[in-house]
Amino acid sequence: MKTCSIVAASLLAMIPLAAAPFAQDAKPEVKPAAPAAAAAPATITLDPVHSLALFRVQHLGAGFFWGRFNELAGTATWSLDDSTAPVFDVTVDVKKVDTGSEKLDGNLQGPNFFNQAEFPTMTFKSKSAKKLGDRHYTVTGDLMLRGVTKSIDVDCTVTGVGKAPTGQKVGFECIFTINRADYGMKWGIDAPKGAVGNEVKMTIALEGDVAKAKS
Amino acid sequence: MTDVLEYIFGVVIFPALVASLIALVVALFAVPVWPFRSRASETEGLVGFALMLACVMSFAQDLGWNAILRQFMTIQGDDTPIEKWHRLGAMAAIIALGAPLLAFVRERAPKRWGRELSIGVSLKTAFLLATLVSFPGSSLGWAIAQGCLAVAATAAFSLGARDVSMWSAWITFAVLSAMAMLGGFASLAVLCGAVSAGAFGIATVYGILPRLKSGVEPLPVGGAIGLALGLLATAVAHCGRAYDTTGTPPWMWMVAPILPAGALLLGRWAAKAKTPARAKLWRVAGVAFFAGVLLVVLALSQGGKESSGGPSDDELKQMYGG
Repeated sequence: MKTCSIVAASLLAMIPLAAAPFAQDAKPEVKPAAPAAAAAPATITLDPVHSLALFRVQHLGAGFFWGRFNELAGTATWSLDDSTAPVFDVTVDVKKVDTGSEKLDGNLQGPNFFNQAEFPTMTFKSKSAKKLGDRHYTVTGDLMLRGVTKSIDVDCTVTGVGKAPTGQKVGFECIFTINRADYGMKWGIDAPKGAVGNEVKMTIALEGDVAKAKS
Repeated sequence: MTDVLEYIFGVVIFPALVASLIALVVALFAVPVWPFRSRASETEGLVGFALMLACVMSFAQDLGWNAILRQFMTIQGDDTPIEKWHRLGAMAAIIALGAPLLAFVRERAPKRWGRELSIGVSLKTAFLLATLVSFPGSSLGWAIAQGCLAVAATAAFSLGARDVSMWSAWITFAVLSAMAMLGGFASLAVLCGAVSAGAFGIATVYGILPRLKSGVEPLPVGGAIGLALGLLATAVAHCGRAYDTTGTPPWMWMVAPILPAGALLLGRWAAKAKTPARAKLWRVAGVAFFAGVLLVVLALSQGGKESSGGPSDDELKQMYGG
């Protein structure tokens, strides 16, 4: 009986020793911290109320006059952590040109300028981008105007990410300059000479709603 | 201002001068030049050519020759798409070549075919125009309407205006020019201006020259000239209607090509006139009256739109809390 007790005590004492290697194996291995996974690009549907396209062109070699396109639509794709460049697919309704003068709007819609009867929209589709800094890119894409498509570089800045009751909103500001003669819009450059400038600066302000992730 | 004057000279005055010069040279011919056998056919063909040439020159000066050429061939390095309204330039070029051809065919055809040939060609060409020359928004209905209008306009120039076709063309294309300018279509306005000025120049040549030189062949009634003017006026009106951005009623565009029929308005006075010159004056006055009424209606319709376009006093008061 005494022998059994000693054996039992010995066996019991051996349990911690026997468990020691397993205890060592069960201890979690400490690994170096992994980098946080990049956010997936989010689809941003452009809000037509808070997006617009402005253009500026010189008149008679004197002042610059500005106009806007009141209706544009499309999407942008961008990672909210700025890990990917924005990708744009934007369509502008040329008929909605607005200079503050109905007569001038009519002239611009006519065949000598935008020819909205044959070319009702202007589009831009991204192809690639180069990062210049935090939320600042040069986006290269195809601009289609008056049926002519040419590759252009757009200076694009993500102006901010905000919150709205419906979800997140993202803003972009894109600036580029084109020669309208490259798109067949030549009236007023040489004939009559200098009536309307060839160089057109465009400033596009975009704001869109981030699509909610599917659960 | 110098640049604008230079532009107007290039697209309106110079083409008109060229047309007038051609008409002057033709009028001074003593004998018909091959392939024409008669002075009448030669005058008909070459004056029609001259007037259409003014249109083509104005078009090319404003938009470049490629705007016409790319409709017939591929131009290397030219990626500009064809615009439908550029067909006007191509059509004027075709009519310019067709006018002397028609005069030549009429001259060689048996006399008993002469009138039928003219009428048959007019009808077929009018409907050919309707199918080949289409602008945005054209439908089968508009194509048929264009064909009928081309026939009516050709008849108006040939039969209505008769021996005052050039004066009628001067007024008609001036009205079309004004309508195009009001519609915000500057290129169409200068093109019509060139044709109008060319018609004025040609009418002046044939008005003055017979008093200075004997044996000057008068401008023919109808034929290639009437067809050329009728077709071009119809195409211009249809184009202006299709591209109008200021809401000019379509019926105004459709009435403009048949303004020469206004020569019939004062027909009674023309018939009772003591001299042929006075009779012509009454006919031109009829066209001018018809044109004046159309322009007044157009101006009133444009003025009505402007006065209703701006904010009303009530809206301003609401905006500024007045």
